[in-house]
Amino acid sequence: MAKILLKQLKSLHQDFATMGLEIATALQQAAQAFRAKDQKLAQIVIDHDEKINEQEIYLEKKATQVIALQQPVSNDLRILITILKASSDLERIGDHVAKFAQAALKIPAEKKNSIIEDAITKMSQHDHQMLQKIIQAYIDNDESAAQEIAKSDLETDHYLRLIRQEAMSTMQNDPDFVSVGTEYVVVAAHLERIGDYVTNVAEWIVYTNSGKIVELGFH
Amino acid sequence: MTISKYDLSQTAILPLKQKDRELALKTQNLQVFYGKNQAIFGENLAFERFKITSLIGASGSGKSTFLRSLNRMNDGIARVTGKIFYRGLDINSQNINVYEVRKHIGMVFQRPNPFSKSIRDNITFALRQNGLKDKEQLAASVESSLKDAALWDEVKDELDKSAWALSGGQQQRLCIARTIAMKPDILLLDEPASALDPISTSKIEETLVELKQKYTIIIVTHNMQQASRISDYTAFFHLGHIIEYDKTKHIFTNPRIQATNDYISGNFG
Repeated sequence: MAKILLKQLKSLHQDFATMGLEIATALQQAAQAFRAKDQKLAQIVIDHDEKINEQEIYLEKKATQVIALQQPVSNDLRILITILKASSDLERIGDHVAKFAQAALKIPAEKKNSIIEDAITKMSQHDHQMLQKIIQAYIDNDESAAQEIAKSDLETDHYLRLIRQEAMSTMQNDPDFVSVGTEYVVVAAHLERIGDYVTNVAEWIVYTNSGKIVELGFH
Repeated sequence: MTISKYDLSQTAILPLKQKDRELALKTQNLQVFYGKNQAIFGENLAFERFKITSLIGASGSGKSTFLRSLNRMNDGIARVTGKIFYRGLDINSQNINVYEVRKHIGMVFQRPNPFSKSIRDNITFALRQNGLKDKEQLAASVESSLKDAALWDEVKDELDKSAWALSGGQQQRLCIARTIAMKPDILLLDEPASALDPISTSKIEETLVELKQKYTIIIVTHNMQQASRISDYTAFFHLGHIIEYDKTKHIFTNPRIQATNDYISGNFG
């Protein structure tokens, strides 16, 4: 009954892409809230995480149902496994986005460090690009694009090191900066994890295409 | 009497909350006896309109007996008691014209059984018997029935060819077309694809999914994958009892009764 299965796969495919794009938007908003220390916008992003969690549950439930009812094999089965696994990765990205937004509520505007803030902005922009590109690669089922995106995760690692160094040296010179500096490092760690989860999604795109479980992390 | 390792009193029957007009058919305390042997034990089941309901269960579970009772095909073979409501009427009562019942509730059997006639005449036979003579109307009926059964494109240029010259899958779709030519409300199908190859089976399944837009479909199948693929509701029969009835997605992902779980998982018996 290939027609029903195709229809259901298409619908799940769209729902997955929608979930990914919504998280990308949330990431942009979180970055904006962090930059402007906009508590209202930060709260919107935090509250929206609940919806992202629901989207993951919905995708898992539907994908499981399609596996049970349609008994997909081969390529169709891999598509569903990818949705099951990668939706979990997207949900985790959503959690890190929410944590990023929460940090906007914790760092007082008067204690901002412009070098670190600038690096966090760039890092979040890079994450956003990775996320958008990986969703596009998912939509296009483009394995080589996915591999390229995974490689660009090196850049998030680079930003993490940069922010950590800057925070550490500032903290050494200014003990009053310790709590804010620690928060900056935590934010950078969240953004770095987003890059890791995007890499996971890239691995699932490779799996959909080739059936091979690969490790694309370049650590 | 067969002893079951399962508790037959433990059942889970989804009560359909739809209003009566949204139900195609409803049985009440339906019992079937072959001589002294009871085959169906007082079952109550409601079928939603424009949905596909699968009846599944092992051989001898009573699913085909139950199906055949729904349009009085057991008359003269078995004694059927209880009520079968169709449009508010108990069609299991004595004073009902069974031929009228079968016009509204058609049946397609396990093995394709086209008449030894042309494709066209297979469709028009029952219509002519019912007094339809207008050639244009007959031709229109041939076309629409064959289109509904997804056979038109394959046979439109050879309608006068013998129906027996068609492949098994085409013959079965012709039998579906022949049944829907009478414009029934409900289609009963008794393992319609069990004698067919996987490609023909897939075509029949696709046809049924299209047909549910116009008809209510009740299908007996041994093929659990088929039940899970195409049906909206599933009823699991065991030793003449309906053990579980629910939406197909629930039956196949989280059945409430152990016997159902064991049957669909292949650990039955």
